[in-house]
Amino acid sequence: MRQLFIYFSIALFLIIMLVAPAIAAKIKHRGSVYTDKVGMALKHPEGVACGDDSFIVADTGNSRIVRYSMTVQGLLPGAVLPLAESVPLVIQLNSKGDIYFLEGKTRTIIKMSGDGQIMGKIEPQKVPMPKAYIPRSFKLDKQDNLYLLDIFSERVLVLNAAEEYVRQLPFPKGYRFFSDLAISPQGVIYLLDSVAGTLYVADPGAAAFELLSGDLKEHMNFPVSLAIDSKGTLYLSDQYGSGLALVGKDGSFQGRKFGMGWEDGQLYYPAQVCINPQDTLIIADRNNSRVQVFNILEK
Amino acid sequence: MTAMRLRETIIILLLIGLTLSFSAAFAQAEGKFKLKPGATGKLCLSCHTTFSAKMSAKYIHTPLVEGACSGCHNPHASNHGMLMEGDADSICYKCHDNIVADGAVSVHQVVVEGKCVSCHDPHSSDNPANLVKGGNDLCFNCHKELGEKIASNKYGHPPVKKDCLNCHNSHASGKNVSLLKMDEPKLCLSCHKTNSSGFKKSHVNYPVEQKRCTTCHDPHGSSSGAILADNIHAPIKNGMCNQCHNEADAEQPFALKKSGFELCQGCHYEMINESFGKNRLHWPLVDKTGCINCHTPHASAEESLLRKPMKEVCGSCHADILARQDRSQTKHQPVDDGECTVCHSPHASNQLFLQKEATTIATCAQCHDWQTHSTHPIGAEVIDPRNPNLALDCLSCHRTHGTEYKQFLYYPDVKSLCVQCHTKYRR
Repeated sequence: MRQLFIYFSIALFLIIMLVAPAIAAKIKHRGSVYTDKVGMALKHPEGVACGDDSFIVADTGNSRIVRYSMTVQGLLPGAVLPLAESVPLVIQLNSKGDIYFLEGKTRTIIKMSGDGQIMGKIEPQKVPMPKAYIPRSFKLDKQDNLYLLDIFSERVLVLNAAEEYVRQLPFPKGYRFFSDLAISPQGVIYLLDSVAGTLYVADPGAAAFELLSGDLKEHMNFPVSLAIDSKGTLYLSDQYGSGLALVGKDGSFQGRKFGMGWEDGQLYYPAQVCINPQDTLIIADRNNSRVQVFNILEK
Repeated sequence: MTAMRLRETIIILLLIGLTLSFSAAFAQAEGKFKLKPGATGKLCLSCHTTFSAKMSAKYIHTPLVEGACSGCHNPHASNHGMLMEGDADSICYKCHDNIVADGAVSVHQVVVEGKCVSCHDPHSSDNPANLVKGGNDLCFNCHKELGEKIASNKYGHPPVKKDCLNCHNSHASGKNVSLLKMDEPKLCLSCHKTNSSGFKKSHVNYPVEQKRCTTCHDPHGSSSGAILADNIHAPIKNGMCNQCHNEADAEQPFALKKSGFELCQGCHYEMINESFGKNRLHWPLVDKTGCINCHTPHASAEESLLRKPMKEVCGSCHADILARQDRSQTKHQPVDDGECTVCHSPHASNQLFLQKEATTIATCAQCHDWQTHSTHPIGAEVIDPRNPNLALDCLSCHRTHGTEYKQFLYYPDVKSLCVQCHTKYRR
């Protein structure tokens, strides 16, 4: 009887191990936004930033930012913030509701107030040598510290809310090309190497990045954006693979979500992804010229 | 009890030993196919009479000399062509198992694929090592383009003309890339002396003997003097290394004066400024490595000083694109030929995917006249029924770098594609 129980336990464990990746992070489509409040279509949106019950979209092809709120009635468009001749690529919200976006033409990070007033470009202060920097992406943490992915001087530059230098972490040796980074609520920094298909991690206070995952290229084509959910699962927006790849905080591959297509729930060259504290996943579905909203459900 | 167990063990071991020795002796006495004494080899040749010519060649494969045809062939039946005893791509390794050292840095493609007969005649040949051809002609069987280049170069490299094996190993190289016998610059310096005044003068006194010679010189020869690669960066041509590097007598003579694109911007300011004025930049242009991600700063056999042929340069990051093309049932010629810049602007563009033209339709129309290709309405006014924010264009049906289906369609057949929009015809 005891032996039977042991066999049963082993079988159950194996079944759980096999099925676990498939049931990890069930994602349900909540809705899609195609237009602003006057019906003007989004055009190749590349950026999304999440608030608790709202989000903003970098409507790149239309050089503007569009607000949306998430209500029980649905996803409702709000204010439109025009950006003269700008190419907003990556977008973030700070705790005060100010908007930061990476401008593709000048490769600078621009700060604007919640009502659309440009407050100027981010000018890092007291940065040690090398002074030069070019951001490929950036993220803000809960304290409004800005993590700048500086591809020119090969480092992550951390600035406080006053844009003053806090610290820097050099890129790890042997990397190919970093497209994005993510910051966990605990302050762990993750780096996404699009070309190598690998992730690097630096714990809070660490002086260097370490390889988190091996080569994940067999599971993805060219990931460009990285977000993290409340459980610590990493969501990689696989632009050329038109899907999402999920990676556990231990670096293990957890599966792919979505496929290429034009219907709701399908993606066509997605760009930035963001996840809010309630585990709402928002994807800039760039070549479908829309933004899709999903709920990440309990396992 | 213990003594009894020991006795049993000894008896079992003795029985196993006796059985093995008996089997071996029996096999030796009768041979694998139990041939009559002296029949080995001769028996085969009694039917395969034309084979006697092979036996008169200068170099004969050892099993053949010993008449051991059954070393490679099964005289009765086989699952392999030519009644081979095993897979043609692995049978040679039965005896020649030490061709590639463990951990070899580079291995000849034909060796990896087990295509030994591409170079060796398995029976006999008039060339040493049973090679099917002698000298470089053998190599140029496959490396045809290189052979033609070597033959047509204005300035040749004598060791290359004599024998490829002066610099390369034929099977594998334990420590070096490209099957090289030694790494650079050691290999080059085994012939070229660097202490002459002529050498120093021609290299503007830079200690180039510490660096890789092939960043400037084409070891297979070229049509430029001093076998510099055919396309030479102007500062190199003019002996102006100090335009980019420190002076030759500096502590670090090869250190660059600026980083990344900033160095190149000094001369190529028009191109770089134009690129920086576009909406979308190819990001590697502004990373730490900058322009030399794709270009070599000294000399190259490729146009525009590309590091390698364009397909390899672009494919070194966008391997997924090339893999998709490889899998694709229909090949898209520019992709297959590595002419990425037919459609894409490699530095910057105002369009998605760094497309050169303003629209996808215009990009495709460079080669394809869509009115003769299809009369299906496309264009900015034709809304995609699947998505109100999209207009129909070529990419609505085709994926330019290929799919697993024909004509780069997203779906297995035309009908499956059409009913994506024409839903009333779905079954």
